[in-house]
Amino acid sequence: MLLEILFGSQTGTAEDVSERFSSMAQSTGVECRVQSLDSIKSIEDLGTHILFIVSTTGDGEEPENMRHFWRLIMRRSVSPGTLSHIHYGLIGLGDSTYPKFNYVAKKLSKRLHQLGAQSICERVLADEQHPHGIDGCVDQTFTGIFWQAFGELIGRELKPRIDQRLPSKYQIQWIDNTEQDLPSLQSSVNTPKIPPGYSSIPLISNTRVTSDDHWQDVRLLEFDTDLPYKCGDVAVILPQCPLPVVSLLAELLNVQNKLHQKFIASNDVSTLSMTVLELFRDYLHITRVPSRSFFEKLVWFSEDERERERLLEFLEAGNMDDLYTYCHRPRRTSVEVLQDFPHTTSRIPFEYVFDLFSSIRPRSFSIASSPKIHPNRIQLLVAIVRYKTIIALYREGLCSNYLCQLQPGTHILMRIATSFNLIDDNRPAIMIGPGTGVAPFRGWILERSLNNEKLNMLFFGCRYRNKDAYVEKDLLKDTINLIYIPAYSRDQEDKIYVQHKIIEYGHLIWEWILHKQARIYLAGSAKQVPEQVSDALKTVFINNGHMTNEQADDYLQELERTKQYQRETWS
Amino acid sequence: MDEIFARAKSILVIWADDVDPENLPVFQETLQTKAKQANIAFENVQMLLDSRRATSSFDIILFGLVSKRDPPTNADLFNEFFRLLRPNGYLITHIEHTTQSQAVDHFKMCGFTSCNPLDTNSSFLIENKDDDVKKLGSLWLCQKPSFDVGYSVPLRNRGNSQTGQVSSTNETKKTWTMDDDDLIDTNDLLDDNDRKKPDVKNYDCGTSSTGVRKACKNCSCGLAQELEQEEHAAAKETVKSACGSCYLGDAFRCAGCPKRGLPPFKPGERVTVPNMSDV
Repeated sequence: MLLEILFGSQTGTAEDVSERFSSMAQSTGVECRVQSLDSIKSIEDLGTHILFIVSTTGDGEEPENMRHFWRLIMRRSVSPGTLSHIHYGLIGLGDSTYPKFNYVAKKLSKRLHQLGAQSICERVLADEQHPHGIDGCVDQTFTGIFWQAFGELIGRELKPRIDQRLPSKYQIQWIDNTEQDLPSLQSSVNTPKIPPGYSSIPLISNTRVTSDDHWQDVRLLEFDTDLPYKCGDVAVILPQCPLPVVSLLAELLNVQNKLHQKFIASNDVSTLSMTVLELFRDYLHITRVPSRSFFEKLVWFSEDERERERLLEFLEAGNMDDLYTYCHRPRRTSVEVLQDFPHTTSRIPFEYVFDLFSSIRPRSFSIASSPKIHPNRIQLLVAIVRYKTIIALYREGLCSNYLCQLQPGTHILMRIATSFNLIDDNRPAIMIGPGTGVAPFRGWILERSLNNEKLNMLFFGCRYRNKDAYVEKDLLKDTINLIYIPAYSRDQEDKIYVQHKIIEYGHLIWEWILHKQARIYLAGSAKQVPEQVSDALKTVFINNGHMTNEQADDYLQELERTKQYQRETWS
Repeated sequence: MDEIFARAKSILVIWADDVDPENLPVFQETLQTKAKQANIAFENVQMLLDSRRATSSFDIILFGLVSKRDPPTNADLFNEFFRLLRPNGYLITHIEHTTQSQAVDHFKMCGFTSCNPLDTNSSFLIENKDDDVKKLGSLWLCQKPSFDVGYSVPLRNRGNSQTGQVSSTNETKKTWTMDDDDLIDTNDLLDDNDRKKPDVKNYDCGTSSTGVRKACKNCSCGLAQELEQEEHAAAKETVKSACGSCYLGDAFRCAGCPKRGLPPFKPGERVTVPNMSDV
């Protein structure tokens, strides 16, 4: 009997929850296997007992590592009884500040039911906005019930424990640096590792494009590369953790003397080889805000009375508020937590770092340049994420801050991926890009302007005309064929956003759609923008197109279905 | 043919009473070597309708091949074979030439597409048949279509649009997607309840937590900064330590601790805000 734990994870949260449930299963003698959903190659691969853990990302979309599975299970040709042999649990992870809250879990739930699968217990739709976050939400409404019901199903009582140390994910073997007779190792110590698919690209310039007196720091980064791309593509970047944090962690774990020593980490399925420095800087996300399972694992190693007591206190079922206030609310990082528990940390065997930390995930940024206008260059518009909580040190986004401090000449790891499908024909383009959403349009407008016949309209939103209207310098020129409609939200008492401007210029938008077959593109944050813009467009159809509410609804849906209205939104 | 067997995950062999029982295990062995990944089940034709096996559970059904003579066919039986097969699954049987056209009609009425005779009378599949049966009949291969019969596909009902301006954009198919038409519209899976957001205020957190405003992870509107100012102002007001544990980290400090937000330090040590990454 095997419990398969299958996850769809975009930023690592669902993967984390999967690992947690796997530890719970192991502690109670249940054999289980954790995989991403993309390891399922056909519907027939699905076993009998499954725990699905799926996040919703972007604008109600499924995470990348379950896209293939999504297409398998949503195929029309799958017949209703296909999954009738399956017993499953379902955990949905989402954030209710987004309109399409947990859509992926909801849809999967319905589909599984349609195909005959039977649920072991009621699903949970966990919410980031829950007072105790995702873990709190899951534990409050699902965890205990699941293990009880699953136990009943398989005929034995299951009582997962959190305090029993499990074997580490990897075994470690240190490599003696003085071994001269291993030429392959020797050369790989010296040359930096480049993961498959990535290229090492040098930075040319790193320029701040918002005014110095503005609280938000937005950079225009320019890289030198002949990697082929088109407008609408994204640059996928692997960031590094800051060196001071790397040193601090090494000290806390008593491996500061081994920073440059190489090791081999191996288990049944994979082998890795690198130095400790590379591990903490390039591979493990040591600045991540830890989840509940991090604290659970620290208990395994804790012998100091005060520290152990506090850890167990944090993990008490009725004490979620305490843990949340200490860790998640102020966005305390894993290393900062370890700093507060020095005795426990100094006893952690090195091989367990792979259990405590997840791996660094790459981040995507829309490319803001055009291969025709900027040959051999890739430009990115990056908003630096930096803010304060109760903790003295600033909270910083890993990738944005990594990019922010890059010096010209430094190399980074990058690959290109397709993303936004900007259709370059002679039909006019109506673009809506508030904030850094404007990035893909910037290069595209410049490129389209090479041909006078191509009409362009851009709605750009920012806060102040003379602080963060960073796109105007490049796009407001005589040579550029553009109707530019800005919305400066804080330059007057009333807030003015792109949606207000859309309604104001509705007559023009309608004219372009009706008589010129214009296409509409929206790029920006998935939070409020898509809904507001959709509503604004519908208002235009009602006011200028003389439609009823229902007709406007239908019309917008049809535009989406036929790809005349396309959206690229991120969460 | 070889690939069909090699790819199959489950095969059902239907036999009739006139089968020489010794032939079944031999047949199974031979079949297994051709279909290495397949689960092979055997069923007597009389028991088949009663056993009510699950719909769409087999990749291949072999009917009446192990017996010396060709078994009689009937519509009920073929309907059942059709139900048991997965979409794109295969039915293989041996049919006398004289009853051929009637049999093919049966196949088509049940919903099988592409019914074709095979000219491999030397196939392992019919090695148990009498020679004259082999001469007077052929192996037939029928395939179940990829759409399940009776599965309704929702029709798009857009009626006549106001403007007629909406055009399909076939030329703009993204090359990295598979056929989108193959998929159901997942939005149809959601009902009105699904589209509603949860009421955040109703979350039972099990403690008497006040509804505190919280900034998002990637706060870009300035609320995070605002909240921070408020918290720092409150912390500054309490200067004296209430517990004497200031030198330990935040995990052990009390709520009003003046050292809150700083890393742990040695008792008596002067602490400044670490400027690790003040870019």
